[in-house]
Amino acid sequence: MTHVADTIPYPWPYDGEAGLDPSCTALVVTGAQERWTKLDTDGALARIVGCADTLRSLGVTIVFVTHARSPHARRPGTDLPLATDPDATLAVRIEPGDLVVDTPAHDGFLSGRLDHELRARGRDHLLFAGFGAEVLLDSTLRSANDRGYECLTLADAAVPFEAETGARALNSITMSGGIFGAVGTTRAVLAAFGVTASEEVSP
Amino acid sequence: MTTTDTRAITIDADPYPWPFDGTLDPAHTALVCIDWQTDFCGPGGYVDTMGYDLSLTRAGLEPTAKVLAAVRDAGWTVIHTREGHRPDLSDCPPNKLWRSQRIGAGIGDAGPCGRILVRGEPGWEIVPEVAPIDGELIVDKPGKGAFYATDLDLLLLRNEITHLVFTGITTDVCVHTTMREANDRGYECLLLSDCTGATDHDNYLAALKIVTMQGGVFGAVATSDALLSAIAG
Repeated sequence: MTHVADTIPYPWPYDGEAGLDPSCTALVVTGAQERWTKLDTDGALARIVGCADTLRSLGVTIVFVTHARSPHARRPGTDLPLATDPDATLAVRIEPGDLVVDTPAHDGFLSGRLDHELRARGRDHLLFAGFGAEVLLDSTLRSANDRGYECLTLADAAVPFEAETGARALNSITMSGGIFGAVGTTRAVLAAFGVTASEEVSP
Repeated sequence: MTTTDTRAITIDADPYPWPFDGTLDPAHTALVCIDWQTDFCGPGGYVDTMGYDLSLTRAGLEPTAKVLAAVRDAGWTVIHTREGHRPDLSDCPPNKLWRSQRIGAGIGDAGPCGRILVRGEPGWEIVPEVAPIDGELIVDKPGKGAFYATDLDLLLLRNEITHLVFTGITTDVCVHTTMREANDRGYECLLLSDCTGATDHDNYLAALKIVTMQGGVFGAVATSDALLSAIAG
């Protein structure tokens, strides 16, 4: 396999077979915290966890980005929980080798550790999933793209705050030949890595 | 003698009167004009070469020119950004280059306005309607966000700018990315809805809405008229 099937607007990754390799890939999951996982109404959290479990077994690095604001922030933001709020807690179980990266903002790259850890592990191809598709995920995706990471957003594992803005945010990714990378599905990614549907780790 | 207007002035904005801290202070506020370059809104530029409707990205030029005149009179700091790469493309990520070539508008390729998205070329220049004047800050950026790999944050800090009002193109790409970066860094941000445009009108509308979600997740949105009347007092 040289590409993930049916990705929009181009066959992902841009570098084909060389880039379609678990050892250079990370799954970045934004906002899988108590505040936002309750937005899941159609089993997206189970899809994310199942996809992460399968990808982890192949050697893909799994990254959970947790977003929580500082109590000292000048602007009293309403959307991010304080780090001390119970609903800032990660709502998924982490496994050995997983990365959990805290950010005081929407963008997982803001504090610098995410970029450092990904580069240290040689992970320059990123799969995006998570909550707050048009806010948390999108901000992190934009920063990854500017830094040269080759990014694929998994539409069936990206949960928006609102359906319409979520759909438009996915559409924006695909403008101008893939301005922020490409959009695909969890099933197609797993298939591209040689996993058949029956072999996927069931949620 | 003072050049700082300390009256409590806010702008009628969505979802809250902007700024949150209640006073529009010219000494601490900058107008940020994003990527008003021929490559994004002029004939023969990058966006035109890709086949998009230029009227969408040019729609905000006239109101932006009015805002520029007003804030210059009011003593605001004005900042312009330009997206572009070094002539040898050594600062262009290979996947960005590949995608641009695949859609038929390769970065660095020769076009009607010179080499696409390359610094110093005619297409890279800011269009005359909203061009910088002497003394205004210009930030050159290799990506979509104006904070990444630039000195923008340092310029804002050094000039004691805490509040940013955005115009520019395109709404859902470079404007949104930069506004998100600014908001995450604690800057109080306002986007002028009629001073921006995107290559897709529905994506433009969604980008405006996303700013205002959850009480103003990335700041607020206002019309240029609302800003002009607030400045006029």
